[in-house]
Amino acid sequence: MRAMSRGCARRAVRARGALRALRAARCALFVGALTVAIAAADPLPEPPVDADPATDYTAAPDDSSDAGSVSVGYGLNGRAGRTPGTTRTLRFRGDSVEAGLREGDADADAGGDVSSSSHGRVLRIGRIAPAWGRGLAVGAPADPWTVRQRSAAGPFEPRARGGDGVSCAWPGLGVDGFAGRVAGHEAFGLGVARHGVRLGSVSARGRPQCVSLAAELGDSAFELALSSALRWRAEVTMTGGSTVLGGQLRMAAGDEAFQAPLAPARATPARAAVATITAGSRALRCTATLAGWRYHIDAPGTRAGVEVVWRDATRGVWSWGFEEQHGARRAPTATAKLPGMRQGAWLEWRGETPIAALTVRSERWGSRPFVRARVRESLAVGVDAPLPGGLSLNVSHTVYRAHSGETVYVPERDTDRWVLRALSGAGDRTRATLKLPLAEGTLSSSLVMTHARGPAKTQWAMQWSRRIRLRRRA
Amino acid sequence: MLFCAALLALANAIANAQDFSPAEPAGPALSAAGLLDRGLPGDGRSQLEATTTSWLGVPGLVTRALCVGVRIRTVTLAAGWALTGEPPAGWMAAGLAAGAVSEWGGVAVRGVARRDNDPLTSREETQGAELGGGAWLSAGPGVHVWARAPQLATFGAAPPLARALSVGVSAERDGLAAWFEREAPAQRSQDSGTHTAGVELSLARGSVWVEGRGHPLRAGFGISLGVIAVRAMGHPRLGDTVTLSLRLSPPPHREHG
Repeated sequence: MRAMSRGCARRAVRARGALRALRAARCALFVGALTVAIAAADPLPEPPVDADPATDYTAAPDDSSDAGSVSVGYGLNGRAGRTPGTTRTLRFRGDSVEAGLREGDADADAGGDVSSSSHGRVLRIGRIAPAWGRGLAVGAPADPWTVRQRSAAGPFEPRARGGDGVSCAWPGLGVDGFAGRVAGHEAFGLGVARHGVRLGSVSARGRPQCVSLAAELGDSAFELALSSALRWRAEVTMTGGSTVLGGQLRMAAGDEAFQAPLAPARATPARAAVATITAGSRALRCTATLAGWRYHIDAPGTRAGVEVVWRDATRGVWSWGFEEQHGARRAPTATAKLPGMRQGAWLEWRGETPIAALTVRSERWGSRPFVRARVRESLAVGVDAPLPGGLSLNVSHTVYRAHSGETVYVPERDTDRWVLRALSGAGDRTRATLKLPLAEGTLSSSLVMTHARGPAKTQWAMQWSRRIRLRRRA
Repeated sequence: MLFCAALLALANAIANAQDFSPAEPAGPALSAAGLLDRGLPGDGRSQLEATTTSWLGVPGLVTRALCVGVRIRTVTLAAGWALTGEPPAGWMAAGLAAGAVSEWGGVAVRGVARRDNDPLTSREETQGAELGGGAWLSAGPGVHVWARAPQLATFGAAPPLARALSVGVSAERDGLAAWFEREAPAQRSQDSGTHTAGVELSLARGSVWVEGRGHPLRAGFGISLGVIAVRAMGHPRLGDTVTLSLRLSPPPHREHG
């Protein structure tokens, strides 16, 4: 009996050690793709409405860093038969100065920026991406079927148009402004904020000037944008309830011809109403969403969905969802016709143990009631295993089927940013990522194999990065 | 000719196993052949296993395999050799698998290399390999969730059966277990996957189970008694597939305390 007790104690100690190792490994890398989906409690993410739905969507890189640190990174990537591409990043963050430099082959976010905080002023030079209020005039409004607040934005949310220029803010005075070349046009903006209310004006060459009045009062937010062409757009969001039963509401209205000065090509619905109700506890939570929007009178769209998430310490996390979609998701074009009804259902399970974390997910969409007449389907698995020596291995595998005109999106964590892979037709995609400590930094190596039409395609990437702390914590 | 026709039929007709088809229910494998075939390490002991599988009742279409499994604490290894058909038809296969298993779950990688017995065909057309793996986790008392992809990567000649990602769940209580498994479409020409479900009853000296599969709909059963296990799966148009397994394990180590 004593031997059994000692055995149990040893197993418990090993289990705790393994758990710590697993958690440490997970700090650096986690289950990539599928985690995004479950964190959002939604179907697999889609690119924002202003992105090309048929191509991969690359989210903005994660340039966050701790104060008093320097981050450096060097990466190589390539595919069979092509010359490898390189990426280089450097980011420094001090007490009052922050600077970053990013360059790489075909990197849309290449460029540099310097930010200085002193005398109650924050000055930023280089790449800027200004955003005001709900993003109607400056920035990017949320997708028409979400109530998501800006602070909760995920990697695949619409993002503000960036550019090169200068921005300066005096937080104490509530004044901020920017000037530069944004989305291909010279632009200038100035705003004043007092007691949660903000008034700003923005103008871009060749575009009507726009005035924005925004307010944030507790859990509610409001913005009214009015252009010099007398086109307007207004949006309000409200959040209420408790942790047991809560709700969010978003409503938008305005002129169909309204255009944001910094993103005139981005078409957003003139009318939108979204309601989300969340009920339950942390262990069992149910979320229901109902959304309706209208780009113009011939291009309406609706969505209704429900998802149930069950979390249990020993049984992992189960989530089940169902959604029905009608009408236009994006602004219709002359050649694109409105998609018909879509019903989708998904089931996902995620479990974690000291030896590995496992996520499995099945998602199916059909064009007839009860998810019949399948239009796209995917079955995916992700395994994350810590290995001896500080190594960690992540393998994800997705088998997909999509009819003509349909796309299956698979989120993947690239070397330093999220990428939403657009997959069509029939095939499977495998991605293996190995992380290992090297030269006081971390080397992340990934290999991707895609089997679709024609021969298998192989891509690879390697990224070495290191974060250096310049001073000790107080 | 009959042999070739049967091979073609295999691609669409057989269960998700080929060279090292185990005589045990779906889920984490207790046998060495199961580990080589599924890449799902179970709580099996070191063992020597010999299996023979008669496919669809086709004369001559028989797979004979010899497998050895070694369990060292949480590490489990397996190796095997299999011969399907008789020369000059058929093929030979050698498999290796390595994994780790504990009470919370298991993860393994497995690989199989094959060579056709036809001496008239070029090496590129007769030699091939596949690499894959699987993982399972405990999702509560008696509940297991698994995923396996035996052919994450293939090299050389295509394997006789295309096998896609499968995910499954099983629940066991008081000696009665049930499982469900869904396999994605294995070939791009296939539009839908396959579902498998079964029930197992554990007895004092063994177990018995029944199972059903779709595409096409069929059913089977299995019995495991000590060192011998048998699994049979019917087919609506072709004959039965029967697997016989003989498993020898050293006696369990007794802990004195």
